Amino acid sequence: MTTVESLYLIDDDDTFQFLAQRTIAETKVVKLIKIFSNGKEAIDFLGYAIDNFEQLPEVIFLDLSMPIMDGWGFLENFLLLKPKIGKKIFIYILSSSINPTDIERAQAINDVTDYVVKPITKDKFLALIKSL
Amino acid sequence: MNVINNQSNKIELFKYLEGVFSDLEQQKIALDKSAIVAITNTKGDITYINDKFCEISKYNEQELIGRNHRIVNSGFHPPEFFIALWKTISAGNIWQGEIKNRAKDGSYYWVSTTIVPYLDDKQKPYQYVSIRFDITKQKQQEEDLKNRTQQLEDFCFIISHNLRSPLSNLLILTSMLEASETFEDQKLLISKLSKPINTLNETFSELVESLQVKRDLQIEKEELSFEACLLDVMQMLSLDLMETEFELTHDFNNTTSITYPKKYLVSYMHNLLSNAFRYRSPDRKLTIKISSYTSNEKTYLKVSDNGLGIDMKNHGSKLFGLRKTFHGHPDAKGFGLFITKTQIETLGGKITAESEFGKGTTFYIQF
Repeated sequence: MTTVESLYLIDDDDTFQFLAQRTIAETKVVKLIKIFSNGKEAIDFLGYAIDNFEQLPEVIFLDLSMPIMDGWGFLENFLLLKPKIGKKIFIYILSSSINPTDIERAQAINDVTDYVVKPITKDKFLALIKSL
Repeated sequence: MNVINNQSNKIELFKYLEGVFSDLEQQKIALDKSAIVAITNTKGDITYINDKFCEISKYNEQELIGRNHRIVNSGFHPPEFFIALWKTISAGNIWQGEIKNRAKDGSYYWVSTTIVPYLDDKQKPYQYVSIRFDITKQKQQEEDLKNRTQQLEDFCFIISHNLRSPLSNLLILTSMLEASETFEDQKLLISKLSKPINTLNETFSELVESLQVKRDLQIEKEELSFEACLLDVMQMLSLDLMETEFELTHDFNNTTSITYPKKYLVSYMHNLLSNAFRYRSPDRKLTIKISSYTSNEKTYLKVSDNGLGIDMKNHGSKLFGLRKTFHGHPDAKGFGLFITKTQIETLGGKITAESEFGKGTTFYIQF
């Protein structure tokens, strides 16, 4: 089974942070999980970790609706950083929005691997990671 | 014999023509009673208008004759619209369509329009007759219906999104609880239940509150003084908000009062002012300006502050969404503006905002 060295979870809902962390830990395929409460925290960290291959994630789980900088803002800024990032990063949007406008918009962005509607069960997590 | 014959022919012809003229006269009366009619030359300069044209455009005959038809152009349609229209009629073809025009007093009206070119013996147009019908009301209803559908659709997504987040958390939590084997672990999971449950409960109350206004439509409207309402609101604002140093100026001289349900006007002012206090900048003294004015026969209330401001490019479209907050502010719940928007729209108005991150925000309510 694929193992993931490092995964970023970007979501402002602390209950979801707890649940996701626990579910991901149970799958035993992810070594390190880093949690950010909004897009800006994650972008700032990425900017700082850019030359540090170990610190960069292989997978990002991204929420859409967040304060300060939402998921779209994160993606916009990520695209600017991307040329300088020497690692393939898979971005999954995990959102509770079923608005087709959101889904279409996400699908139009090349760097978004998939759009997953919450709730995310353990099986869904496993399936996501296996599909990498 | 010949002479007599000729004479009776002339009488016949005369009688016939008299009949034709009378018919034409009647038809013109019928047309003038029902339609808005204008005739222009090939350059679009007005050579004839009927009473209905004057009535709807609010110009009198002297102001229109000799002027170009552009005088009632509303600026609503792109230039290509009129280029296509002119192409059609100057080629001798009839043009039909809907046009939004602007009357002398600045108000707008929609007309379903047919323009017929009158052709000379070389088949070239020498004048254009336009026959229009007022469809302003239908257009308004169409617009209202569109807005209403949009509102309902947004509302549906908002509900599904805002209920779905806590609900999906609860789903995972309960499945974890079922699988949990130690008492300690169960205790930890149970402690996580209250937050999504409270969120669900709050969201639900907000939705009920925002829907309430729809049932409240018959609520009594009264003549309200903006100044008196503002005084009421200032007394209602919670004390901890007011502890900060601030400067509030108001100018209600342009439009001193409005006929509106008091409960809602107070609620709008309360929400906008609370927002101004809550999202003030820590770097400068809070100043708030409130004013009222009338434009296009509609009353407006403008509330501006020099607070944190919002990045309209990234957040503009979501400003009035349910449970949207933009600053990561601890007591921001993000439902004030959603409810305010729903209430204003249900009562037939609009709310818009201008904001610059770090500079401040201005809200406009059109009643």
